[in-house]
Amino acid sequence: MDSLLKVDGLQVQFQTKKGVNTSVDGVSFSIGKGEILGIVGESGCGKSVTSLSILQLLGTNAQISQGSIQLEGRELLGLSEEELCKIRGNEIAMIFQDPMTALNPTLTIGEQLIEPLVIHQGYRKQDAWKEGIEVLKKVGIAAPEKRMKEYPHQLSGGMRQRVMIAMAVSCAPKLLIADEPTTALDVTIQAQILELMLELRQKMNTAIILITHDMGVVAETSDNILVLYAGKVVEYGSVKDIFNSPKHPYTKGLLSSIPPLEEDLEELSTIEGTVPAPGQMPAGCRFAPRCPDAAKQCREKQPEIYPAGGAMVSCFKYMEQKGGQDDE
Amino acid sequence: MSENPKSGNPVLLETKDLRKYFTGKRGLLNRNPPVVKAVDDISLTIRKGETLGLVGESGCGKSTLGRTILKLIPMTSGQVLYEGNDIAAYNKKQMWEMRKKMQIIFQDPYSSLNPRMTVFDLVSAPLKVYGIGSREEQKEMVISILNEVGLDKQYLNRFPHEFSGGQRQRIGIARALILNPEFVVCDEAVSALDVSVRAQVLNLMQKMQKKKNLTYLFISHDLSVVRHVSDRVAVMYLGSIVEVGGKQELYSAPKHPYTQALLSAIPIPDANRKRKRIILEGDVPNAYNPPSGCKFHTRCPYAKEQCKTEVPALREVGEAGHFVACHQAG
Repeated sequence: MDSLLKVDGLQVQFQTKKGVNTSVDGVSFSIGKGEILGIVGESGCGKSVTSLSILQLLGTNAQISQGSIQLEGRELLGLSEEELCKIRGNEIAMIFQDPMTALNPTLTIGEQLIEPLVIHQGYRKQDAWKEGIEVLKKVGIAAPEKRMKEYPHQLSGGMRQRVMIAMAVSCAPKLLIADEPTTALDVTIQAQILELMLELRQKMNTAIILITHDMGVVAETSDNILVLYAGKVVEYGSVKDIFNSPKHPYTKGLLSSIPPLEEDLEELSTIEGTVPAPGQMPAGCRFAPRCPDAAKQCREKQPEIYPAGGAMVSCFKYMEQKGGQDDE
Repeated sequence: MSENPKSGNPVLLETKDLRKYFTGKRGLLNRNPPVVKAVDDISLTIRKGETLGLVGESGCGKSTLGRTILKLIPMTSGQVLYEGNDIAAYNKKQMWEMRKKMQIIFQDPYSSLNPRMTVFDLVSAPLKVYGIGSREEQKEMVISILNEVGLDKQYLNRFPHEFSGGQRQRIGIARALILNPEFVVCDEAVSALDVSVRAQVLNLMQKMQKKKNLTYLFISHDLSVVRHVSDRVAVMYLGSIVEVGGKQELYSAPKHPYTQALLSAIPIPDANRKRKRIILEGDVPNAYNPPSGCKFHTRCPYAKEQCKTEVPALREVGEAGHFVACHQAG
């Protein structure tokens, strides 16, 4: 698959009162045209920071200190604000978790929806309004003419998220970044929204970065998965590889701590302990303090990322294998 | 019923036609203020030592039901029988005594703990309210319960902000269990936690249940979590129970179209299985103006004329103890 976006060695640092915290460290991945990449991990693992870095929407206390982000071979880091504005919402669009706070409550749906069309695509207002109605139809909103004149509070949560998606895809972006797009929604509405995203990918060949903490959501939608832990990539591979034979102890732990839907367990397996606090990262592998298999070198040195049976794993267990077979 | 070993246990709590209606403001133009039937004629039984899971989407009334049972909010009508006694009729003093036996664990470990109180103050508060033990004895009791929920005594004088979400939820559990209650409402008790921490807290809750013979009403929107912890499960939609039954039966052979859709909508962490999903049309209807007849008929793929006019009653289908409120289910 042609590479659309390539992120290489991304490092993001936050300036805090207590010093500098590196919240994303050496994250690399690439995404092809029409591909869906799931980025998963628990709160604070750096998944949102990674996605905000792509559009350089981080706060002033944050800084991308290393790495490169290339969109179709063009480096995005170091672009001027003006150039970035041409990319944001046009070539790369983003949708957020909470559609109520992401929409402006004082503007109608129509006014917000036509904005990117007028700014990026040079539509005249009247034409943009017509196009807006078309886009709302595309995302499955009934009576779009009426909805265009309504305010966000008049819509339900699922409909607001549809509007967000409509805004994001109105300029036919090459890449859509969806940050926990269904987390605030009920399961039946979540199913509708995921279905819609898959449909848009099919129709428009949009690549999607789907950020979520829900392993079920990635399993059902994504092609590839990037698992993050405490700001680092622990495992990166295809959905099949990672769900069928997870390699990193963290990925294994994460998958086995989900209660199964069709089986009775006496007790759930857990990952002992908690995620290290920012600023108190362990010296070696960041997962070592919670890892059941941690050895001496795990506590002292940070592992690189090694190929293992089709996937990439950041664990010393796979250092020797050089793309070898599964350990099971 | 073979699948539920607790079906022979005595009934601990029973609701009979329980209702909680919220009345909106009466305005100049609307003479009849709008009414939300958050809990609408709900009859449920919970046996001693069992966990009844209560699932449904946001706004279906599951939290309101939990709070109405505990009389944290006044009920509109109906009965709540606790070991056969109607606590709806209890006066303040009787209720004060009852509250020792009935506790609640809340969802948000951030807002449910007073940020200005230390762990000791928080966990010992129920002891102080009921005047149990001297300060020394209270301290011992707090240390012992903290120990049981997996927190070290060195944390006694710390404040909530010094803890992670999972640890805070442990504090909330310690506070709910320190009076040795019999019945605990867990209102989305693990929903705010990350997966790996959630598993730790779920295991803790189950361990405490076995140890102290607790009875749980486990309210959650997460169907896989509910399946894991519950013996029986009740499904709620717009203020009514649409289906209730033993968990194996309910999850493997759901009878109500809403339960079927809900179960099929859960994304499963398995890359090999692509299931056929039932995608429901539309949103949950406005609670101020619920549909006539079966409240689900506007989204139901099987709805017939009868469903639009007649309210379906819960009736037993399939295995014993499996009830469904649907005209079409067979």
